[in-house]
Amino acid sequence: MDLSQVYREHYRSLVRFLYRRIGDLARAEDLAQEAFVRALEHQPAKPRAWLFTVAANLARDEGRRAAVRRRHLTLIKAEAQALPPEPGPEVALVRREEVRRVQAALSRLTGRDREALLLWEEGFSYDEIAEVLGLSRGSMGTTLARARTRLVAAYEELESQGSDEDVAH
Amino acid sequence: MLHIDEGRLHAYLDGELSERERTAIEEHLSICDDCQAAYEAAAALSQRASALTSELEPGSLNVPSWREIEERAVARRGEVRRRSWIRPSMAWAASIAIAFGLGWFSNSYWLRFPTSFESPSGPAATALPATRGQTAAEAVVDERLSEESGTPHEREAFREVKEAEEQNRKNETGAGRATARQLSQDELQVANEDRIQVPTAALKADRDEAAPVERSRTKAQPADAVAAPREVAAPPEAVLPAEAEAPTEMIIRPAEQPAANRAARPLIAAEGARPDAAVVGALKTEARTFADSETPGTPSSFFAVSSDAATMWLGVELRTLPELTLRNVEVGPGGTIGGGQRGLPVVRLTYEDAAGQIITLTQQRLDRDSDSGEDEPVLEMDPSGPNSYRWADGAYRMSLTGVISSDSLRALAARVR
Repeated sequence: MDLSQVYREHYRSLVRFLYRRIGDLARAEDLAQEAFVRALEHQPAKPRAWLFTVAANLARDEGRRAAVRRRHLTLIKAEAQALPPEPGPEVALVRREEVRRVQAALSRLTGRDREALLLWEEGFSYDEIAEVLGLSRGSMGTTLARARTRLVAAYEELESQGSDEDVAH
Repeated sequence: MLHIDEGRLHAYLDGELSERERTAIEEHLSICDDCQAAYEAAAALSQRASALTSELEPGSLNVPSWREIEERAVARRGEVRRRSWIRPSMAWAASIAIAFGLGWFSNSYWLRFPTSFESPSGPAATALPATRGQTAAEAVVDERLSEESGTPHEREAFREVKEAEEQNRKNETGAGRATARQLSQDELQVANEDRIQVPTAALKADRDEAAPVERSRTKAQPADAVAAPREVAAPPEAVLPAEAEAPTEMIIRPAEQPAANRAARPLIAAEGARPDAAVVGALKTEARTFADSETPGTPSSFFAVSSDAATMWLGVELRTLPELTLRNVEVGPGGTIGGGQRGLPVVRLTYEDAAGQIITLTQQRLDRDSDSGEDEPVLEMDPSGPNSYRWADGAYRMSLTGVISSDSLRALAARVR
């Protein structure tokens, strides 16, 4: 497949995957472009799977370097960038809080579960996810079931903590 | 009946099961309420998870053109190529530079001399004085010791010679001296033939026979190749004893050299790991004196030297053009400077000006007693080649040559320091 076509069709998906993975939109864009530059150098046979594999690796490296401190900083930045035109101060506040909780909930998943879930959300098949993450296809249903369960549970826990804090205040 | 596990339910929801598996699950769900409830819970969970992740939407993106991505890849390939290119190319450059350097030295210092051995004037004997009562090697060794130079082996060899000499003096008999020297002569004869063949062949050669000369030339080359270039590049004064007035007076004829003394020269080569460069240098210096029978004491052609060596060849302080970039220093025969005196070496400095133009400054010590050249400045103009401006200046005869105007030549001449 022509890489320029892959770029047109999947660049946004790749940025979104990275953004959800690392929480920093600008950095997600950088890494996505880097993945495409590398794809031009390597000319992979399966460009989409290859791009997401590289992107996942870049995201892991990014996470190792930056650790927790930057995560908090980028969350704030990401929220501002992710928000649509602000309908009003109160709605914006609620949206921002939701984004923060989802990011926090995702961060509670293991790396493999989080990436499997995010790849699935980007339209990857089980075979493709297994290829990108180096997992067996037979375990993919279980992996995604666990990832979804933990994500929702973590979000609800964070949401309930937020409600308790609101009540306390 | 076994229920459907959660993983298979999610795979079913995600459409990742085969037709047969999907049919089997649908059959089971139709009859199992628990699994049907689990299925509905899994579907809700999946929808919820997707909804939560969709909260993280990046919004508007900065999407560079594909051309930009390609240019970045091209730039990176160029960097990688340059990086991988540098090391081998540097290695090649260094190799070539070393090869040229070695070639330059070889050409400058060694290749000038073999022709001298073909001189009809006679074989290359020794350039050391017979009047000192010493052998040639002793003279050289004396000089070396006075400078405290040479390898430990050489110094040890010298001490042995001196001790034997001292013993001879005590004996005060010719027979005693001959006995004392005999051992070293015998011991070193083999080394004499193997290591420094130039003196051996030269000393045995008959000056009037061409064939021995040819042989000595053939054997001289290996010995030349291992000697130190700097010592050979030095002018005769740097190697020869100070009392040598002219190179032609320094020749010792083979017939005049005592047999015992001939053995002393190879002693150094036999004891040391390398040939005595001073000996080889002296022989080459002498060889140069025969190279140009009309101009003894001067080289037969130009060869490169250091500035210090050039000063020694010149006999007076070297004059330069400090404002230009010096590219080369050479010593050559006296006849190559207009109005110059044969028999006195000239030094030619090659400069490059800011425009890349090559300008040569040639100089010769002006010997007022014997010089008959003109004193007035002379400008030689060549429409198709370089112009030349020469003049006599104090103790120097000078010449400037370059493809530049006569005015520029005069202006440059005024800047010679």
